[in-house]
Amino acid sequence: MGCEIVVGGGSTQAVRRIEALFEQRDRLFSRFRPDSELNRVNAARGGIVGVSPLFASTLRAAFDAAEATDGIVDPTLGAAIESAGYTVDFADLASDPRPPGPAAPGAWRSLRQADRLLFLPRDVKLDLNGVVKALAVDDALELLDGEGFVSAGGDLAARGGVDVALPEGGAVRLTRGALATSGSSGRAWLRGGRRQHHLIDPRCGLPAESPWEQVTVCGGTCLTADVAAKAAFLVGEDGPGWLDERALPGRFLTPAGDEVLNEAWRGSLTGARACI
Amino acid sequence: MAIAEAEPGRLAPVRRRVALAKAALAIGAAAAFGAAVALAKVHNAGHSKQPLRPLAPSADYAATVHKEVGSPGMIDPPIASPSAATHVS
Repeated sequence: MGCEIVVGGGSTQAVRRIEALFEQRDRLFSRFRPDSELNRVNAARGGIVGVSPLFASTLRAAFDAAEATDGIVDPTLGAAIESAGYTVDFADLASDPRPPGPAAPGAWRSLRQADRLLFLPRDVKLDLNGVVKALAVDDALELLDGEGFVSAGGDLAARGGVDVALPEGGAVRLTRGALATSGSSGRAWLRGGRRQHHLIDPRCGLPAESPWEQVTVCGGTCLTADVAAKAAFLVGEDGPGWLDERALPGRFLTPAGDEVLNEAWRGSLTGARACI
Repeated sequence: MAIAEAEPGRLAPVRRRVALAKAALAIGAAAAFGAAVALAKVHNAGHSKQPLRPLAPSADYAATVHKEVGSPGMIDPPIASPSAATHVS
């Protein structure tokens, strides 16, 4: 999956099962494995294609995320991210003097899914990385025998309390649920002399211009935290308020290193939690 | 003469069919009246025949209107050195 997997508190057997789980998800959803199910589905654009049960349920989660965020987190940005230049595993990605390709806005509403049958329009390409890693973390946590945590690329879910270091300093105790951090600093590259990154704004199909460098969100699940972190980053200046409307604690860092905590985050750390 | 003698024989079956039709109409009318009375009693707004139910939206409606990203987790101030880290990947 192109990221570090860390497991805390699991038995050797549980860790092996978790490793197998992440390998399975990578085989299905990687954009960089020619034989992945994602690439098979994208190759069948313009028609109806049958998908595996896991692919179908993951796609369903991606639809739900798009609907819950009014399309801000969109699973149809495969063409856009390739246009930006992210066409190989990030470890192998180098600066490229060629200009970026054409913008490709999101079009999640053009998809049609009926259980394990999917219709993908010819000009739409899926990229499910907005939900795959977080879902894998949530599922991996279920494989732990007792208390512990699972982290994939810095998105983690825990059972029982765990103290977690935050980006650029500070820490919190994750008492319940998950923490996920989304931002443009982790995966950025140059294309045609212009900085590109992997967080595409579905409204224009280009790497988002956000006032934030990164956003950390605490959710009940890793999926919730990751989707909300991406959405809050992409929403821009309204990010803290967007999270507060959903009672989700969020921590925002600007490129200058300034920290902004939304009301839900401040309330959590002072014990003044909202009654919902 | 032949006509006067034949008439009673031809009218008898007709009279029987008329009587049957009248009886059928009477029975149907009575049944319809009885059904109407029964339905009126069931739907009488004067008192409830069924237990009262709250005017709550259906689960589908609630799921559509209250679409959420998901529930929040819980964070507190740290109590020990961190054993995990969150970061951008």
